[in-house]
Amino acid sequence: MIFKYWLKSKKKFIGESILLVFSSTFYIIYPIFIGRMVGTLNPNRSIAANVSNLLLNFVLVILFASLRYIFNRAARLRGAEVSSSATYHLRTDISNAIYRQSFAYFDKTETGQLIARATSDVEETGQIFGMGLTLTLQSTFQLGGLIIGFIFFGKELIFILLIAVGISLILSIVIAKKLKPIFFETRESFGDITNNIRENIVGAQVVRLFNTQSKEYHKFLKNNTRFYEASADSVKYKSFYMPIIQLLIGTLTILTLFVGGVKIVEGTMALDALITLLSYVVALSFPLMMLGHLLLVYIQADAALTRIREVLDSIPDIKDLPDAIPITSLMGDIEFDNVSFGYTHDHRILKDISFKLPSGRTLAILGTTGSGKSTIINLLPRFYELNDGCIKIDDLDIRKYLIKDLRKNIGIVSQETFLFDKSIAENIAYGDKVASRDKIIEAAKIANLHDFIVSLPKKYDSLVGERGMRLSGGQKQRLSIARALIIQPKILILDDSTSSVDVETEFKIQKALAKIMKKTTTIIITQRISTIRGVDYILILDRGRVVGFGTHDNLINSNVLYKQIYETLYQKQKTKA
Amino acid sequence: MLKLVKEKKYPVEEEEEEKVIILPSASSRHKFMIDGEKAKLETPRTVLWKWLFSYLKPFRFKFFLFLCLLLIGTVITSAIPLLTASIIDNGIVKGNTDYIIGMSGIYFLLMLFMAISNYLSLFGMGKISQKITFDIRNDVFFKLQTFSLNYFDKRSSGDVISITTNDVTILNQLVGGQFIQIISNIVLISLTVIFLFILNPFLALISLLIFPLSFIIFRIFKKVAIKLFKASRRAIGKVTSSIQENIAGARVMQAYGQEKRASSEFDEANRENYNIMIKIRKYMATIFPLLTLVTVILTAIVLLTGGFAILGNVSIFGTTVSVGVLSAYIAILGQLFKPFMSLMQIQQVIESALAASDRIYSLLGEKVEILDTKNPEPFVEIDGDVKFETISFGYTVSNNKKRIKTHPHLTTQTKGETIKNQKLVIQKREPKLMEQLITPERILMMVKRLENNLRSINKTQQSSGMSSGGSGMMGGKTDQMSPQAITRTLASIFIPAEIYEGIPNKVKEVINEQKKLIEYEKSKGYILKDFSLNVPAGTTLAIVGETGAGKTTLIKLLARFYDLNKGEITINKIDIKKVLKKDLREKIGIVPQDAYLFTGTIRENLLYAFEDSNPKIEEKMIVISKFLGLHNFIDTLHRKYETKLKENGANISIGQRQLIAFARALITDPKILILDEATSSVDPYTETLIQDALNKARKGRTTIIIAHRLSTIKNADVIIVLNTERKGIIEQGDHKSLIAQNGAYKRFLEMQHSNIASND
Repeated sequence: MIFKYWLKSKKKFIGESILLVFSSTFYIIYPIFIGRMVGTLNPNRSIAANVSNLLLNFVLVILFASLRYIFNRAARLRGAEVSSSATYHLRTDISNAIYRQSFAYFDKTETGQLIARATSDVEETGQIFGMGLTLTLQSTFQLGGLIIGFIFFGKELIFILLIAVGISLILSIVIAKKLKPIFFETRESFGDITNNIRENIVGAQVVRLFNTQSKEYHKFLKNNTRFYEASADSVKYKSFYMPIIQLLIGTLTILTLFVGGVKIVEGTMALDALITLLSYVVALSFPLMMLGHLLLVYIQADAALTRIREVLDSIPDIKDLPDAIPITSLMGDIEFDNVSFGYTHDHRILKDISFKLPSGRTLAILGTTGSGKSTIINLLPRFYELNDGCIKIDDLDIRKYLIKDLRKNIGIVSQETFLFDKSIAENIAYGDKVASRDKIIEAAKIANLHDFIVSLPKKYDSLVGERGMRLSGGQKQRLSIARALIIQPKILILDDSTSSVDVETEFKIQKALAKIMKKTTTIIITQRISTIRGVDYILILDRGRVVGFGTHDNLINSNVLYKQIYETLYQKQKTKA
Repeated sequence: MLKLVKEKKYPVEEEEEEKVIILPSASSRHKFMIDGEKAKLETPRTVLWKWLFSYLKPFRFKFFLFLCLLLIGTVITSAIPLLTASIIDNGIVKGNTDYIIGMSGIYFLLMLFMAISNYLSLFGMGKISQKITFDIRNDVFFKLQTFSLNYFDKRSSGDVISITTNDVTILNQLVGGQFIQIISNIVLISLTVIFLFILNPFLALISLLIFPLSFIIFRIFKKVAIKLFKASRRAIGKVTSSIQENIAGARVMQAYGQEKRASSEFDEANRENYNIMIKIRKYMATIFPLLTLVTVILTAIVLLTGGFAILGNVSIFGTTVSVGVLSAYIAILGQLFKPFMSLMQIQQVIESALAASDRIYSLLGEKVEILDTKNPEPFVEIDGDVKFETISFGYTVSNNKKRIKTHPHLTTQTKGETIKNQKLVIQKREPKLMEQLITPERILMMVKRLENNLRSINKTQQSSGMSSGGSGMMGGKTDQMSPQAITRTLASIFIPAEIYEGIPNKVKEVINEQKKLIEYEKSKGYILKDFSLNVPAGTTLAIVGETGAGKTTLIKLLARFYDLNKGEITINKIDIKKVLKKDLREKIGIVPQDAYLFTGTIRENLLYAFEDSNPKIEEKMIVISKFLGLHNFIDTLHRKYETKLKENGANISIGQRQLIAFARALITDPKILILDEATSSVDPYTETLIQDALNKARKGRTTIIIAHRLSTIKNADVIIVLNTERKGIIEQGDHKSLIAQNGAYKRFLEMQHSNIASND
């Protein structure tokens, strides 16, 4: 997966690799001349020969070091682009992946965990994406080069070197294996901590109301302890690596000195070769440590990447069909044909729902709490996939339309209002970003929000705060109505959308809406008698089944249940002075 | 698990107050700097360091031990090249095999010792730092629990989350690795320099050139890098907040088909971050290889000089150069720039860690706004007699009486603003002083002047006379006062009736207008002003009124989520400020407008108020669920009461959520029961059920109901109608008497009636 993102800029990637091979070669070459500068000083030769030899080697060192610099820099410049674009693409991919998930996915995944994946988990991969590429390639090439160098200058020592390299590699792998589950646990528990804090803040009022601060604290303590224990565990293994490599390098140095020294004394090896080898050994510590470190960073990132991949790989269950058609204009005829649906496999919320609603008409859905009213309307814009049956709009299965077009034609005012931390105008125009100010004002007027808005110091440019914090429940609902109206939907759905609005305001909104409702197909979920009496059709829902459908006049005479509901409502809402 | 945590004294609020005194510098200003990697920190660095060390204190012995171990390792590291030089010179060059063997043995032992001590110190320090992070995180979360709601109103949840998660993580880096790295690197560098000089002072001097050279290179880099890093942090902040909000609002985004737009918004922030990152990395691509190059060149120069020295057999400063010395130099120089560079980078880590500590420290030092008193009165035998006595409250009105605010939303005050406010204080005090000074004659004089002024304005149709500002002069020099000052003075003093009579109508008008203006100024920001109400024990109060009239606010005040600006609320004649918040809220059961449910089972949510459950409570839970008609619904679920609720009950309907929230409050058996539109999303059947339940539940309780449905309100003993303009009650009485009053309440009813009738 990491390579996939590196290869997003293939040319640069290949360029970097080739440049790094050269740079590593030069990195191996210049120590040869450093060794010669010292090792070939021969008091027996003439001073002039010695001096020219010294100067020659000096120039060569500078030359190769400079070449190494030039190539290394060029390689890293390419690496900069490769790595930055990798992170960029990863971020883009995960945000797009989250945005396209279906409602069912959001139902089962905690928001805090999703946020953690898209932010701190991506950060966690920054190191491997950042310097990871250059350093991995560089270390590998250098290691290879150093081994070749050893073969040239100290065949006798090559076994020692290989053993050292072998040990460090095996060690890295063993430690990495141990750490993998631990790192995963760290990321998981950190996600839980994030979610824990988030819930605690969002539910701050409830916490204070019930005096459960210490209960909350203990819950947090549990998560934090999990995180601590996993982190402390990881330290145990992480700390192991560096000292071991140091020990290996040290041992290698001594062995080189020892074996080389003895050989020189015996006369089978030259001093300059030994010095070159010694600087190779010093140089060896870099790639060895780096590779071990990279492996750690890699598995740490991998834990985060696994969580990211979970999001990237979960294919949204609601997608456009390959031959989905665009919608140019919609009449707004709605038909439910034996629709069954449940949020989970074992529990059907809706069973065999069938009804027809001609274009331009209004339907009210009545039913007890939990009877499936909101679920019905969630199916219409294809927020969820049906288990059985089909829903048709203008005589065509909604699955055959482009989802985007389908939703563009449906305006939903749901029970709960989510507002973005933007200005009022931007929130109203959320579904139509090119809406003119006049259009925005018109929508706000219908929702009876205009007067309130102009009373604010910054009017339509006032910010609503996080989740509309600065507005009251009723104001939020009204804003949400305006937001749905601005897209001029062919189908309008009002899910108990004035429950937090006072009677007077509600009356005004209803009046204003009446005009619009003539042109749109409307579905209303309500408990208000005034609304019920004004609609064309009424659907009565009981435990997921349709138990009555028809006009008020029809139902009042034929349907006992409806009669009962109506009378209860009437009694409750009628006012007798 | 608990043994890990140091004893935490749970809300002993006196402690809390003391804590505020201990940390005086944490001001409320910090909230405007939350995003700020601003150069200046809120809290002095020394204070931050002290605070950080206070977390280290329990581990000081261990810390010292690990530091010593690390230093031993460091000393060995720096001494190794000496050993190498000695082996080459005394062993290899002289052909002394025994010497080679002996020294190699010592070498190996030293290496082994170094490895062990390094491991121990790394492991130990890592653990300590994790423990410290753990402690800090607990403290932050604990502190969050002590805050009043006010705190969360003012801050975005993202910021608070980020302090508890990311900022604490940044600290971990400092405490864990970098901190002792500083010490070890300094020791390493100084030892190496010493050894270089011991080996050969002249060559050492040349080698030391590496410091200024890399310092210059690094400086140039840093100058650019700091700017870029800041920019990148801002960009990442934007990326994060964009994605946070869009995840939270993903459903709305999809409903409106705005995925593309969200993506492009995100892409903008992401691309900005990408561009900055590329710049940073390109800089690094130049700098790091350059440092290596400089090192190699310097090494070559040292070797060249050394080589000449050997050849010429020159002794410099009395020391000769040998082959061994030169190879030691190769080894040392190859390593020298590493500690130096990490020292340079450490500064960056320290800066960001300090910025993080600054935010954490400020949060921890934040004043808890609603404190319990030190000597709380007992609050046990309460029957729920609630009295509001001329209370005033506004969310944005400051409680600090010394300061009069011009801009209520502006908590930060710059110097200029403070001066402005002081001026205001003088202006406000002015009338009081004047009241004593102003005699009837002076009043008449002022009226006269004002009258003249008005006439002249009328004549010339210009307002230049009115536009000259400035505050009024003190006392007697009326003729020097501007017309405004006169108007203001007249409006704010008491004018005896006999004088008032004599004032011309035009002037009266102006004065009255000014009076209204002053009144408006005074009540600006207030939701409730001089509100009084008595709710006798056991009665039911219903609150009616338009959105924003302060219905919910009134309830929040009763539960002391906010403190009053003026007046007092008493329950059974005890000021609610004089009892523990915990005791107070135990007596009050609120079912709020949008009740938040936690992730967990239905049972856990119903029993949320209890630490742990017992059979008795469980039984009660079922009784109450049946009482509210909730039991039937729960019974249809597969796992019954053990059904898991998603975040905020996303997997059940809103009506069901409201029922659970209602039950959750009833289980605690509150003396005062408050329903804030608690059944707005419940169907009529269930509502009838709840109504019946409520009628039973009301017995022996004081009940306060906020509702739009008049059916819910009708049976209340007292109904009050709140009004935004009045910032208080405009009508009060029971259903019948209010109808008889033929006022706002009646209009409300008629509205609903006509609403029904209009469809007939």
